[in-house]
Amino acid sequence: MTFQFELIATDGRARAARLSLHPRESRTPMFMPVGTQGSVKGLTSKQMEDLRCQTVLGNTYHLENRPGSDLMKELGGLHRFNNWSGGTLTDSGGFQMVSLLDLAEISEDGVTFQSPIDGQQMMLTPERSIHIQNGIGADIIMALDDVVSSVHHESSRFEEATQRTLRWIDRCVAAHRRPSEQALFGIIQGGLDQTLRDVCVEGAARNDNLPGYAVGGLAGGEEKDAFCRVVAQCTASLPDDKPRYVMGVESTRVVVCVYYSVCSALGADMFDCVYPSRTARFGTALIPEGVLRLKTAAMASDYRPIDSECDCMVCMQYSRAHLHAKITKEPNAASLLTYHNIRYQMRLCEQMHQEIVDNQFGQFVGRFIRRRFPEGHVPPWVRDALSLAGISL
Amino acid sequence: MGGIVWELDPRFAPAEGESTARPGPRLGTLTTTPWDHPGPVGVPTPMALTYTRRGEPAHLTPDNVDLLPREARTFHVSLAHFMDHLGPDHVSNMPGGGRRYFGCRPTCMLVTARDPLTFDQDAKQSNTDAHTFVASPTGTTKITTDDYARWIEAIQPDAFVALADESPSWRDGVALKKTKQASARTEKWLAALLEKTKDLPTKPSVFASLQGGADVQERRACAEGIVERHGTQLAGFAIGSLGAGETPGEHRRSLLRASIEPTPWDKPRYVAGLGAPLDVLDAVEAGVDLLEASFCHQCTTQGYALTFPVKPPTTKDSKKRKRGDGKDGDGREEGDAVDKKSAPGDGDGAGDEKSAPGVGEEEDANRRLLTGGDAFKSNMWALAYRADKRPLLPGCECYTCERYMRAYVHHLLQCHEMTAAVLLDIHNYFHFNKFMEAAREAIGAGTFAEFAAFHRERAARMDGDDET
Repeated sequence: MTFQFELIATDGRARAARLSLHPRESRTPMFMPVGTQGSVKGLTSKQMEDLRCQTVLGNTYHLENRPGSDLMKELGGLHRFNNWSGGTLTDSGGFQMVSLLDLAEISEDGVTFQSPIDGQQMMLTPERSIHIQNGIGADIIMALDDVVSSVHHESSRFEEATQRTLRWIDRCVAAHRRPSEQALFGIIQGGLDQTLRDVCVEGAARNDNLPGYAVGGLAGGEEKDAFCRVVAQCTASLPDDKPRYVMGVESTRVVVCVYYSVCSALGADMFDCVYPSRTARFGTALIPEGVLRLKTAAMASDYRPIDSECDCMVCMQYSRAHLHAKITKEPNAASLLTYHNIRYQMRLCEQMHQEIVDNQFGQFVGRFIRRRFPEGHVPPWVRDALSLAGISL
Repeated sequence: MGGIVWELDPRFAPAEGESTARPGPRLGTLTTTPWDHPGPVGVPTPMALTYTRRGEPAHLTPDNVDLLPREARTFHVSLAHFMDHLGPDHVSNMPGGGRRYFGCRPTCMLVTARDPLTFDQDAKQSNTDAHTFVASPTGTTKITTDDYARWIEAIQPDAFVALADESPSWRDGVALKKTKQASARTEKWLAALLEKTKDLPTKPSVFASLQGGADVQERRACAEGIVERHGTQLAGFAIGSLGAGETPGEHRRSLLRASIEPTPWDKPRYVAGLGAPLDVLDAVEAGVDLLEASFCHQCTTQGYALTFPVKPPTTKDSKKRKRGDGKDGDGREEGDAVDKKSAPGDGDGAGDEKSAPGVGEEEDANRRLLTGGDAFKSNMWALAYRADKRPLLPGCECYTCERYMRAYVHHLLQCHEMTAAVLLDIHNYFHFNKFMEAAREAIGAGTFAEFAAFHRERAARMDGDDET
């Protein structure tokens, strides 16, 4: 088994760790940029290395549509295909079924849905999901889970989904053909129900064949404090010696970096979000104070860099004014802004890692949050979540 | 900054006691002093300036430009792209001067009014003595010499081509009167711009635009007049009104010669719009020193990878070929032989990854034609590349070819991923600069005629349109 998770330091509930992946290790806490179809929008793999990206995500659903996992396998797998020597992770394909397709029907067997390409009925079973992910060949693969929107109204549906997710984990483990090369993560479901989450964590934690866990079923429109409570509960009861991945911080939330810091404080190790690269293409840059909207008229005469503390190429060489004139018009401006936004998040994660190692994480998060919310307007959910982590602002 | 210096390689200077150099291809060096470099930066000519949108390559970030040969930081800048509501102050207010506005940090910027890819002079509005029109981001926009001078001051380029009343040389029946009027206006605007920009602290070099439409006599007269009346104030000459859809061939070559011959041998000549490889050969053959590479940008946006051999195969390559089929053919038989052997395997794309450029090139080109490419480029959208593990051009040393396979670029195009254009642009600009380098080598070795003949014959053979 090449996959290894090694805790370097803890500070409160926060953890700094090393993930040994083929061929390069990743460090946590870690934000994982999303390369849905095998590339992070507008960036080359050399740029991803320059940005010191750790692990990059690919979407099983999209990659199976194009180029297809069989072809991907023939071409040498995802690493070879997109020339990426860092870590890779694919999801189960289940989430896109919910997010892209209204016509999904879930049964004990799997998820039936209509192909958006030719309208055919297709079936995604746990076995099929693992087969596809084995073909794509990412370092970390995810078990197929029964996803229910966290704000769904029927509690019986959550119960069913929780139990089914556990049964499907067993089927995924049994179907996994490359356990020595690919780490299979189990997913914790249970909506916002504490009892169900406990049942799911307990069931999944008993399974020795899962080198890591993901907290799923969130990012569906639930309240921010509910989100944090679930993360706090799951990270508290999941095994310490395995990584914890909080899946898909909701993409419309501009406070994405606050989420990362809060989740890290609560003991989560991995996160992903499409917001930073998507919003870049629409002209929004991440900065320590929050976000900078480069399309606004004021930016036309602002000759400062996006973020004067940032060490990235864009902040060294470009002014806000220049980017204002080009963003959403010229493609290289989208690449530039994506570049900065990813570097911003990688820097935040590097900093968190170091602060945890130095046992200064509490103070760091305090400073980080206060800067985001000057004049003491820290939202209650942030205060509450951090107090769950033993950090008082 | 402080303008450009262009020096002719002494081998191409007039012989002792003579005042004119012999016509034809020539070598030189273009030198500038960029603000962010400790000393001057020289690039060899003939070379092709990188095509830009609003002052920077459309798809490439500065770190990607770093992956290209040094010449690629010599930018062609179209003023038309800037003429939106932001105005020149938006650029010139940059602390330290407008040149610092350009994060890509070109070592040389040459500004012209129009975009080489769009010939706006066909607009319905007619130019007057006071203004011409350019296609700006917000539509067809009027531009005067005052506007132009203000923009030059704002952008701080190393050189610019004076505003020109371009009269396309492809329209039959453009009255000679109109062509003459265009020459007169262009000269008037040149005089105005020389006056308006002479005190700029950045001392940009001025290129005069040489007009004369499709009329050889008028081309010559225009060039002679400008050289005579303004020659001493000029850093170079731009051959105008070409690349507007005219037919390539002997007539166009005669127009190029007519514009070039009256110009002094020690000043560089620039031409816009002649960017396709065969056009480049015509221009360089006529003595052009600076071209622009909008052709690369065009190929990239259409999903093409440049895949032609930059120079004739070396003796070593031909020996290898001869051994391959036992014939002492001219390459055509060789190509057929290889084709027969490997055609069945082409579909699955399991090609050999080690083949050097030139080897198996013909059979590749045959397949290229079937998949929407031509003698110079491959259509990476084509399904033939779906499972092709080879680099865009086997043997190419660019970043894209060293790290990615055709199947990946094809996949990115199919998925409309922005990275497709980035990878194609890196390859296309790299390859095109290698082509220019090969042209310079041939000029230096005195073999440019063979070099040009190789490319022309190859294109004629493969595309079946031998215009020579």
